[in-house]
Amino acid sequence: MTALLEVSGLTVRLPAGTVLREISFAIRPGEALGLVGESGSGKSMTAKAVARLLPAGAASTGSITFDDRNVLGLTPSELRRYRAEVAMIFQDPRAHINPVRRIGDFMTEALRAQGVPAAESLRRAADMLEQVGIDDGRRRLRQYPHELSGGMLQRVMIGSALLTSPRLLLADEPTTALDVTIQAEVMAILDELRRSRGLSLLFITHDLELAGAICDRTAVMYAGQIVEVRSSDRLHDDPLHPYTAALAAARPDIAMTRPRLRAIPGRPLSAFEAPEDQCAFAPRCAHAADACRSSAPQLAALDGGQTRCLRAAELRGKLEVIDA
Amino acid sequence: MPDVLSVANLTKKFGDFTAVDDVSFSVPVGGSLAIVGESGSGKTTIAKMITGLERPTSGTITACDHDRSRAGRSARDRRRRGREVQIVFQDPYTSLDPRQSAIGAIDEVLRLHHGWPSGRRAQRAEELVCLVGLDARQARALPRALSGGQRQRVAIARALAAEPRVLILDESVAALDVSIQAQVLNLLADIREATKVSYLLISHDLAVVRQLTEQAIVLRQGKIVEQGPTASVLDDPQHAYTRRLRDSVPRPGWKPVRRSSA
Repeated sequence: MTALLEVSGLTVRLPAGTVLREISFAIRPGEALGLVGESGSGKSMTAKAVARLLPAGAASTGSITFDDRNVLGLTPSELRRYRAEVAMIFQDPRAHINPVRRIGDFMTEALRAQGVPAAESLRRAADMLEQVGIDDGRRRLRQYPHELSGGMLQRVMIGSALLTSPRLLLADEPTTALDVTIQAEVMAILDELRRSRGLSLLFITHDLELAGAICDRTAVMYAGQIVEVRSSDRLHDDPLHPYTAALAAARPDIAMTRPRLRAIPGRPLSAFEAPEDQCAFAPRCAHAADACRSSAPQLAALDGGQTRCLRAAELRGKLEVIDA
Repeated sequence: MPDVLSVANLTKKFGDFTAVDDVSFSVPVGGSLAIVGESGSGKTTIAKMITGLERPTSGTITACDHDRSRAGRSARDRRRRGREVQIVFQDPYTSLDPRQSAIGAIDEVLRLHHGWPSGRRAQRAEELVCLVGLDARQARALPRALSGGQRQRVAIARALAAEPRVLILDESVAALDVSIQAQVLNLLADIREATKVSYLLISHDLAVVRQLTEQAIVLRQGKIVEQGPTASVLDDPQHAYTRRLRDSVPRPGWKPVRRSSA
């Protein structure tokens, strides 16, 4: 397997504490990987590490390799080139698009920096708006962000991320702030453009079902670690890690009312609270044994996926799977 | 069953814009009704009118046989309304007083609404924090020392302190992590069972609506497009918009579909 992006043993420490612990995953060309977890699990921090956007004072160990380049060791000019190949879109487009500049200025900024002439940049931007489903592109390019709805602005952000023809797109909860019908529309556009361009995608979300629907594989994070990686079509019905199973079972179901939801006791731990010498999920896990509280499990291959659970093999077939 | 809250021909206009357009519904004693809609559907404006934060342009709101379409005339009148309807907002990070612990917030409500002596207030405050599952340390901590789920429990306990007949839940579980959301949803079901309080749930999340309510109305651009028992609205939606809402929810085997027009 030749990976486009390979993250290996990545640990990130901030002055306040450790935020990522031994993160390893790979994304092949054209592959979509979902990164799912609750608040504080480290999923956004992982994308920031890949984009080289970690806050000042962050110390990283381990390696990030993109197309055989060492991402953590890029010089400023190499970093500029890297960022044309790795684009990122964020949850709140209004917070990431300059409100006092026109849509056209925002969309063409990266192209202009690459030396593309102004008229040509605007022509490409108008084309791109059409591809993300926004009509009357020429007029939109003259408008300001406040004149567009949230769903439209998110499509503008996706369009401008694709304008430099990146090879990898990092999408951090791009539809979380959108209404559900708009989310479906934006996800359809993102999925279609990604497939037609053979673009790799790292898709971050708290929604297991959404990740499952558009990603080839899904990685589940808990307390700054990856606890499971599994092909998306098997994650829901046949999870490997007790946390994944519990997360799926805790969610209310649109198709039926349950007498009680199977809530996970306690609250999610952030990475810097997590103990080093035991399984971070053990205090909340229905299947935890003494060994889980005395040694830290490693991410290990099992049944076509990977899981970080000491009891994974003996729990096969015994995890709660929700009755469809 | 008699209705504890009913709304008839409720309309709210902001200038030329009609935010809520001729909406009528009622909530029976101990019942639970959902208002489902997306941004701009008018669902939060309805909650604001019921709680007295906005005045209706026309139409009536009746809670516990008292009209509340107009501003309360006296402090006593407004306090009575507080004992009829309470609200829990979406964001537990901004809806609590940062200088007040759970016990402090509850005590203030008990003093204002029931005028009990301090011993009885303290006892009731302990009962309420227990009911929502906060431990002794959390009950005395300031909001900044609590997680989102714990703060939302404080907001629920504070609202329940007034012993309201109706609790409005305005996206109250939307900001919570999945594992915490399940705890709070179970808690809300237990509280309704124990106290016979009625819920008016305002939500865009159809799975949460399914879990917590018996009746639902679907709101679009201020108008009701569909209403009925929650199970039939979700299982067999009659209106095209309700179908589109339901079909937009990710689930196993779901593929997002691009609509022809943007």
